[in-house]
Amino acid sequence: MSDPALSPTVAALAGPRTPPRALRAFIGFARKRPSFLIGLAIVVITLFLAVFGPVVAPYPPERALPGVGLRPPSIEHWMGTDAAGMDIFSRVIAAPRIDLTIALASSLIAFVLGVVLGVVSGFFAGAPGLGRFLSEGIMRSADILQAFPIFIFALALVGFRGPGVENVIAALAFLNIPYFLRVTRGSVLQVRERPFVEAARCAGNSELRVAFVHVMPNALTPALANISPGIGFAILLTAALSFVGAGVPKPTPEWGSMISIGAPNMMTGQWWTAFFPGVALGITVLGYALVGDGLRDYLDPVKRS
Amino acid sequence: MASLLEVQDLHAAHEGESGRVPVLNGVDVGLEAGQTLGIVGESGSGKTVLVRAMLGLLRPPWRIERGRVLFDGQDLLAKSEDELRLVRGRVIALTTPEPRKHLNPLLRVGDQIVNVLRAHSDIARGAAYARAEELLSAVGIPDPKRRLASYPHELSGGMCQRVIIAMALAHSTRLLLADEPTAGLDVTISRQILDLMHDLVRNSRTSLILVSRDLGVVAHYCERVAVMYAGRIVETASVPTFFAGAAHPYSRHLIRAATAARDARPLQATVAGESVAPASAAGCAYATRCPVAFARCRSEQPLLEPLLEGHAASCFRKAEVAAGRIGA
Amino acid sequence: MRFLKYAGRRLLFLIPQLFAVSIIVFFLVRLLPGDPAFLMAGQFATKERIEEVRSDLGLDRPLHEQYVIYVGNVLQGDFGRSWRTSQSVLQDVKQRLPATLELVLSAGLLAVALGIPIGVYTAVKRRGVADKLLFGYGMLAGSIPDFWLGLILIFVFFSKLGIVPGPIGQLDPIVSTPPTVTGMIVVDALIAGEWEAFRSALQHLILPVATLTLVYMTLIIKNTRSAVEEMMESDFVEHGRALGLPRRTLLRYALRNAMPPVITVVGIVFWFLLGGAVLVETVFAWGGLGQYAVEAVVNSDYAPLQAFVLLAAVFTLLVFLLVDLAYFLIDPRIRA
Repeated sequence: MSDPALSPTVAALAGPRTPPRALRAFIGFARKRPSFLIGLAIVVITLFLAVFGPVVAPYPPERALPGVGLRPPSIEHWMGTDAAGMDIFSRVIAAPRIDLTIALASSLIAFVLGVVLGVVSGFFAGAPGLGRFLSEGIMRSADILQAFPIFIFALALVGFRGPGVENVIAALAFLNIPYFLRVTRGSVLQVRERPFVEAARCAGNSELRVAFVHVMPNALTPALANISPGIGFAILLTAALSFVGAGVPKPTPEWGSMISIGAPNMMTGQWWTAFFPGVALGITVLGYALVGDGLRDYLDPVKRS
Repeated sequence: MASLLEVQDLHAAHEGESGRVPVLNGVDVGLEAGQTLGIVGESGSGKTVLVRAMLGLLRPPWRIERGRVLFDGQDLLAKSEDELRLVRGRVIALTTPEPRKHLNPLLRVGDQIVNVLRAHSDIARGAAYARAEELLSAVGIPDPKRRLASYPHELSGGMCQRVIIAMALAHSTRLLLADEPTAGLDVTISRQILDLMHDLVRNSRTSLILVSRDLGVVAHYCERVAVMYAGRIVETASVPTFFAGAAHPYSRHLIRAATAARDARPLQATVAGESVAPASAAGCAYATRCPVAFARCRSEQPLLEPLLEGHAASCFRKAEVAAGRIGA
Repeated sequence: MRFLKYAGRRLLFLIPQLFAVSIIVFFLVRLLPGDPAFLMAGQFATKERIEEVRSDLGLDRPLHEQYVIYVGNVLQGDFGRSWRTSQSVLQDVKQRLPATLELVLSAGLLAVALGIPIGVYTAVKRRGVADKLLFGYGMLAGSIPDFWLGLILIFVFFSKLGIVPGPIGQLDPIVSTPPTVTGMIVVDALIAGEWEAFRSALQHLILPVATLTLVYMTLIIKNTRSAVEEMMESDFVEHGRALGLPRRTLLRYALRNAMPPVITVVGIVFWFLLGGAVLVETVFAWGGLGQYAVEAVVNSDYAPLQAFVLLAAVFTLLVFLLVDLAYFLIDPRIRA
């Protein structure tokens, strides 16, 4: 049964959504959701560490200290040391720099390209001529890419291009495009039916202009809501690639490669070498996921009405 | 005749994120065994909520806040879900305005009817399918044996509605609640469905409450009429009495609109004001649209009180309206 | 009969999909800077070997001819040679595929067998504590890396508690491998009646399967729960309630109608499991295709890597095909 408070006529006549009375509404929303605040705190901390991590670390993150190999957690070394004598705590807080750089860069690229392709694909879907060909082509390509499990394809891309940060960024960016593409396309398919779009057309705007100036800003919501979880996912992928040796090269502190360095020690009982980087990974990805959840609920117009 | 169903002061509201929205504001209506009652009202007047509330079907965010639904003297709203299960489909049955949506898309129609049959009786499967075939035939579906194996998406809207009716009449129910049985159907099919329902009900001596937006339909198929506005019943009368002298200004408006439509005349007296909004303030909900409202109407809520035997209206000026002296 | 027609058509549709996938895989190798023949032949290859590879792949011919040769080779089972193992890739794959299948299938089936009932239970009961626990578990499982969890499990259950064997592959070294029927050791041991091998293989299977299941089961639980919940509030279930159908029947209705989205999720979980298997095999030295692929990447052995990616895609396409066929059987509206 339909909600008596919602009039379909009013909803249909609604023009482009005005941005929420940003700061106050946002703070009010955030205060009611502790999970979102926790996630936000985690994100802020990781961003801080990305910039200042290596600087505030008690020990140099890439220098092996002689004679302190495999020490358990203690006052001098909060998280212990690994086999080569590197302080784990310093490396754990220095790792966000590389992980976040890769994740942010690849997510940004994927977002931009994914949204643009999504707008084209959604706006010209079913239209005659070149537009439809483009739209169909984009969708078919995204579909066939789905046949490859993401990690395996990332592995292949890095494997065939060679390890190194740029290649990891490029691989992750490429693999995350379909995700932003799909949600944007879905959103565009809905937004383009709204009356104000027809109005923009009648005003004499070219199709491209209508697509990108009028439709796109109002179709961004789902993509925006998915950036944060996308970043978390990129971090996991980077760690996985580095774990198998196909990501960030060894001495650079990175959570995944730290786990791989510490793996043999896990079995002989020195749990701290691989434990802490994993915990850091889990907390970080969780934080980005919580922020993503919160943003998605906040930006969802149905929920807020 | 004993009163079969009596709804007393039923209040229900919708509690969503935007707050509490009243939907039923004190509904009083009833019918006696063997009668047919038509409930007329616009969209948003609360008709479907009322029908579902009667069977205790409302779920959050809808909530019954006050009132009783007496069936055979027992308050249905005081019964547990398990007790109500024995009433629904067996003693009181329901049809719906959107038949296809209310059928299981993945199950054959025959299976669904059989499930209803076996829910309330110990009938064997073979016998159940035979009975289902009889029911399909009784509701006018051609080639019923083959149709038992059909899925809902293979049936037209009209046929889906016939199936819904078949399911409602699977057991010898004493009361049928027909909620807008012809919504979305074209005129010819609507007529067939209503005739069918009318015949079935008369042959089995089932009482009928027919909910509709169309006063003409109610007039044709029902003995009594109840008019619903903004979550309340504003008038009840027998059909002849109603058309001879309706006592509520809104009823008069409905009659005018119905006859204008029938005669294809433009409606002379347009009524200013917005469409139905559930009353939240004091006073008569119709006051903003009423041509004969005066000061008292805006501050005090008129009660549904009898004007004559079997004719009640909630209007301070009901006698004058009924006599045709004002608001005609 | 109609099912066979649909299955036939759907299989036909598989062919262009396979071609598209093969084109992508074909171009993957071309990403490499440098002479493909040299790269495929490996660092230690002799000059003759490099030239052999060059003519095998037709690298002096135009690109589209190279593709035709590639497809022709693949269809005959020729995926090239691994310069590390000095065997044909096909042979390497045959030796390792069963191990990966055993892992993926076990984890997948367990995730389904546990995840669906749990999802249904939480949808029906909706009690506060179970809900919150599940939500927490779901968020956690989606955040931690599966390879790390594997290591933790090894540490707890092997290093500390000693109740499972260490991560040295599929069998204890002193136990002999049962005669090969399927290649999956647990199955083969069962068939041959070799109980010691069976027990040992099962023990070695526990931790890797547990790792994968713990991480990916949450997807099934979440989606089953939301699908069943949605169905229980659907119009036709409500109408069933209005007609006095017993709760059991209503639940059956809801479950039956919730199956399509759940089947899709199961397909997606297998898609994830394939990637996860690569990591878990590495942690547990499983000796399957995943570990093989990782070694190929690390050692710049490109022919195996290319074959692995192709096989992974084919596996995924087959899983999606099965999902589609299942949909056809369940949802009569598709048959219209």
